[in-house]
Amino acid sequence: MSNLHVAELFVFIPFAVMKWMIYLSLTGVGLGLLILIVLFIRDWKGGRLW
Amino acid sequence: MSDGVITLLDPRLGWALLCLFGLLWVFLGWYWGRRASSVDDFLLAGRKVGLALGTATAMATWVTSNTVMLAPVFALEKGLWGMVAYSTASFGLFLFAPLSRRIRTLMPEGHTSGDFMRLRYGKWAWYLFLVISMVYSVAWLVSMGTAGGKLMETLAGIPYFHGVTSILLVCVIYTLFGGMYAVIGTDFIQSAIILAGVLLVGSLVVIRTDLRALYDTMAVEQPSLINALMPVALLSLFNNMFFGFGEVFHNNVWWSRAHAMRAEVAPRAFFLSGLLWFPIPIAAGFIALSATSLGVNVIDPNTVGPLVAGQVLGKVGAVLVFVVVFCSLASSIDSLLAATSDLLLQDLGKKILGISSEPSRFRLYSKFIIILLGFLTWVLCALEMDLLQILFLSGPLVASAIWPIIAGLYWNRAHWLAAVLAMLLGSALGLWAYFQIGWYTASLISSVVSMAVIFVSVPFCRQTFDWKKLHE
Repeated sequence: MSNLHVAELFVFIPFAVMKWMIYLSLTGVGLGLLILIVLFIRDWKGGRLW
Repeated sequence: MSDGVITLLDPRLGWALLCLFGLLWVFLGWYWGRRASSVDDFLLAGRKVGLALGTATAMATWVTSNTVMLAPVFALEKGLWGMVAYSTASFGLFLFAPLSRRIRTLMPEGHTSGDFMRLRYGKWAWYLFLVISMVYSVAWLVSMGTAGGKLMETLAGIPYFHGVTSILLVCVIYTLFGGMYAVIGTDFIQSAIILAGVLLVGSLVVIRTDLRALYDTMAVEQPSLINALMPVALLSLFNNMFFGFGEVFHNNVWWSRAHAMRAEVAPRAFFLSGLLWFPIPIAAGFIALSATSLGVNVIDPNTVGPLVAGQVLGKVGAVLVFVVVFCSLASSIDSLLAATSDLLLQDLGKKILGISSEPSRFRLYSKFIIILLGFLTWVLCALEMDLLQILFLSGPLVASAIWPIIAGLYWNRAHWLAAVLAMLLGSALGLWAYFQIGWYTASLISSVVSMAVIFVSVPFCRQTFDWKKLHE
């Protein structure tokens, strides 16, 4: 392995980072949906939608 | 299918989905539009929108077809940093939260972002700002129409021009019926569908793809995609962030929402919408990373997201992507039509041309401008321009307006001449950078130049602005 390839190993984003980036983004999207629904019910019951 | 090209959906199914959702938006637009009894109701939904609808409309407007279709392009071309780069556009929403509080305090009866520029800096800065805002708004509308047409063609074989025409027609009709009430109401349903669709598609791709194998393939075949120091990706990260600031801070889409929400709700709604928006480009973009390992033949990078989703999930994936993108398109096009027609009517029509502000006529003019904008977008979409080019060419223009707006809202010593110079020099040097260096530097350079002009000018300015002048 040349020096260039060794150097490249240190600048790669690790697999774990990519994996958790994807998992957390999907979790965030799911939580966002939940928050919207909860807020809607709260505003609707309180007569504060519009 | 058309002309022997294999598509992921049967064209009849594509048309059925288009008609189904089109009719739903038109019906809901009419239903909610009945609430609009005055011009203020039609343009600003009565100024009493609550947290749920306020958050949803800010988020849905910011989730454009560009988010769903360009986030995968960023991932495909710039790898992991590319996905994060697109997400930094959410910072514009975060930072607009305190600005919206300030806007509501300074201009409780305000209508448009143009009102602020006119009252704060005078006519020259206002004229320049209107030009920038109109160029950007039309570019945004055209980029969405183009994206929608391409998607319909890729997914369902619906001819490009038929797809563009259908989408624009639906959005124009329901915005005409209900104005801001229709826009905000449909935005809530559209945002729920977008979030559910992105979650479903993303989760199914994760379940059906071996992420470890995907990473290993990238490391061998496209190592730059996982390179933490990829210069273009890092530059695009900051460029996109400043582009997002410029887009949100200047555009009447956001100012009209700040005026439409209850004063105490606006800052919370914008902050929350930023939080909700942040993960979407990553969740929608990462599926493009698997294009190489799946052997997907990407002819047009703009359609890589739908292609991979269709390849991995089959017809279900194609239907989901179709629905999500249609909702993203509608949620942004309707907002832009309503807010831009408001800007044109209030600033160009009322203040410059002096048209009558008699309520029934004013509402009629507003509807006429919505139709005119829709027609202009339809004509420009016929040119089938490149999505990235359309979007990022307007980047340096809007980025040049960031500092004049921030300084104008918070510093009483910010001068009109500095605002004009900041926008002119920022736009000029940003456009130079766009053509000479690359799009990923244009907004960054424009905002830095604009900032320098404002900062340098403040110590020399002897006049102080009376904030009460903003109460018109």
